[in-house]
Amino acid sequence: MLFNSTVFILFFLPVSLILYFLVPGKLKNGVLLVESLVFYAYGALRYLPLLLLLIPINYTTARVIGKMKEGARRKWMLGIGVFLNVCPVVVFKYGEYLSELIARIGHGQLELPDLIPLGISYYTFKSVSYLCDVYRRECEPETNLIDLAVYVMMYQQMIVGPIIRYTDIRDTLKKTGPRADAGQCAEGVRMFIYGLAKKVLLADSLAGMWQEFSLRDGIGLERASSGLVWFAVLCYSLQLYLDFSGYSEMSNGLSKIMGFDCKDNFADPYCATSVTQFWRRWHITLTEWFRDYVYIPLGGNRKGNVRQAVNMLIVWILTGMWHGASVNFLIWGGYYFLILLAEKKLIGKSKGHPVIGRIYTLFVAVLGWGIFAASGQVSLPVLLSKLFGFSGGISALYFVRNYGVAFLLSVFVSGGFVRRIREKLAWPVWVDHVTTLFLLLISFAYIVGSTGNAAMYAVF
Amino acid sequence: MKEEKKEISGIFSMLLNCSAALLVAACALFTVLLPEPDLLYRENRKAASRPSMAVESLIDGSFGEALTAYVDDRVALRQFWIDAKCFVDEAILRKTEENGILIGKDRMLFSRAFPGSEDAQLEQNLDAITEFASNSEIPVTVMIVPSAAAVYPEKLPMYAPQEQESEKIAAATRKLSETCQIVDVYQVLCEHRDDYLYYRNDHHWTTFGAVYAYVEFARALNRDPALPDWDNAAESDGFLGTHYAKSRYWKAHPDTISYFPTESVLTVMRVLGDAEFEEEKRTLPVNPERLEGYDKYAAFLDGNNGYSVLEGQGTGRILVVKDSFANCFVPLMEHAFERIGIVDYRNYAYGLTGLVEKERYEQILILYSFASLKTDNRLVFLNRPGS
Repeated sequence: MLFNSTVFILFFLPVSLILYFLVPGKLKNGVLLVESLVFYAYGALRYLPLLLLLIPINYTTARVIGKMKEGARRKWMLGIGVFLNVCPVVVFKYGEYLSELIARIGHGQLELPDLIPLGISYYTFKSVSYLCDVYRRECEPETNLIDLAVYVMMYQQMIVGPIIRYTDIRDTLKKTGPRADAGQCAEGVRMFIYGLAKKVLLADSLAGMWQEFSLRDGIGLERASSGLVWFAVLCYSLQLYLDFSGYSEMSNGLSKIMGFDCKDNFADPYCATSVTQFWRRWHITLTEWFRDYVYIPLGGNRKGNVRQAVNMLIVWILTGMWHGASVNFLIWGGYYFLILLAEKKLIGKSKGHPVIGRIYTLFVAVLGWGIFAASGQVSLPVLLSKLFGFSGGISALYFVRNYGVAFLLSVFVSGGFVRRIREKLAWPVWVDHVTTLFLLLISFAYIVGSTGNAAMYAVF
Repeated sequence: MKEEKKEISGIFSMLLNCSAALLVAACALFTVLLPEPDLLYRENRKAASRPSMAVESLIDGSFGEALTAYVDDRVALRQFWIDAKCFVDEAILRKTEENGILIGKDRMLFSRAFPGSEDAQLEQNLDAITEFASNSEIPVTVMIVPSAAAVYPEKLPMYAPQEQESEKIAAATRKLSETCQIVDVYQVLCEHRDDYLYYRNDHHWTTFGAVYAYVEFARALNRDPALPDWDNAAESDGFLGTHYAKSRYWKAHPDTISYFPTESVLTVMRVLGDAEFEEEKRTLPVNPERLEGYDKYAAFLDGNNGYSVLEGQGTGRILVVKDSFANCFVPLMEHAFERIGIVDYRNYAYGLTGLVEKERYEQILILYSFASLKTDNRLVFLNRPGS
């Protein structure tokens, strides 16, 4: 079920919130769990058993780790727990490649479903972080299975995260009184509607541009001029940001309405003045997850330059692989590894003008998204030759005419101008609320008028 | 003062929460309470039906998909929301394309045909027609109908990189002219471009467009067109066709379907095999009752049946191999021909030799729109050997 669907907005959301608010504090987690199960099962019931199996495994593993004394056995226990969580992700994400590999070495075919279970990456990240936090004694193992299950599978975070830590929401989970007041609810409603508007008004309006290359009935990359390819890559960069950050904002808005304060997943990444800063502002919860559970445990920057470079390479290869099994994601990971390494070791000490830094970061990010999107119909070598070969072909004029206004509005929103204007003008609350309601109506019109576009990051 | 501000802010927060909740609740309530539409007339389709909850559909997720489609088709004020979206797209985002349909000048909607799709199927189809005509013992005439975009290029959105259809049609006719007689309707339609030749909201030509083409066809065959009397023409308003169904353009100006009422008999055949068929039903070549329904264009020739026969009042027997552009063209032929056979390869999968022999057809007309000629992968069945 998509947040940007009539079923969710008209029926699931109101019913689930009414039930959540009506039941006494002690039952809220139970209600939220049932709602999350229904939400998950709506997509396809067949993937629910896997999730229902992993939750008690993690519950038990964490309790065992919590009771064990420091030592190799405890480490082994964590290793087993992490392995059990990561295995399904590997099988579902790379099953096709594993199957090919098995066939190639002559051990028959591996029959695997072609669909990746909804949210598998996100609940795996959450579960692994929980086990690691218990292992590091940063939190006590959860004794209530329902509370742990709610943390892992709360429906608002099932599609694209954010990847929050158990410690971030533990206190709210344990609250037996009211969890959110009217002000918090209003803030949550506002966040949800703004996120929805970013997704359906802007991201979906730009979606058609990249589809000219990625879909069979589009014009195709080969026929496009260099100008058009640059415009399409820029549109894709904006679309990805608005889609993903919009969904994250919807998720955090829903959490806020229910009383959970969750970390922002984005902080104006396209305003960053370096690539290092860009990654501190883009998909923040994923970046921090890799930092805390991969990079730092590997030694981070504490074991010399070579080891730091190796650690960075591992992190970026894993980040690339997490997005998918195709080669472009590995190249994309390698691309960022090299740039970040260069920034750290070569450019890091010299501070340039912020405008130059911003232009450089934007160029790197946009080119990076080009590499990121170059799969299937879109060939990476052709894309690069189009971008830098300055060849002719179908002109950008029509497409700029068709997507131009949506593009400019998207730049305006992605560049943080809306937020800054809102803060500077400090307009009356009622203006803010009327704008919010107006956006709700327009967004709903877009939901009904469109044929339903899933979140781009739901597939990762 | 601070307390007061906090209080006011709290009131406004409550107001936002309540207003948002009210809006959603009202829409949800009306969605549940209002009667369920069976047909979405404007979109030319049936509304999604209420899904039944079976274990299998829950397991594979198809129940969720079906329920989503069901609710989407029944949302209260659905048309209002669709129009509002399209309005914002056009008035604010300045979009000139909706779901693959180009929004042209004078509220005319066009099929998008940007360079991109390969012409492999077109070449295959041209080769198939050439081969068929070379082996045919009776004359073969070909008519390739251009799209509205080719006749009215100036009405396309600015800078739209639409493919050069007229050039491609010219190349195709050059290729076919060695074995077939060609009726060049592109020129004829361009000469009459000030008339109402194409529907604004559908990909087909109007009966007027078909009439001009038919007169040219009769001239090519040295026959009297024997057109019905214009004074007898009837009209049906409120037609929103395929282009509207895809784009759902908010300013769409419904079209008028013109037709000549007739009492001739169209026999729709149930195809049993190669040149084997039996009568399935008898109807009118233009059925006014269907003009009241949601799929109005199906009033012509009862839709796209595999093989049908129209008994005319003229002389000679002709077989028309066609796509849907011929549906309003064929009824014009009834006064000029004695018997008109109609084959539509969407529902027919055999060669024509046996059929021509059995029904003693004297000539063949292949009438296709350029768009169908480019994409139809069943026209090659023309050359299937008889059984």
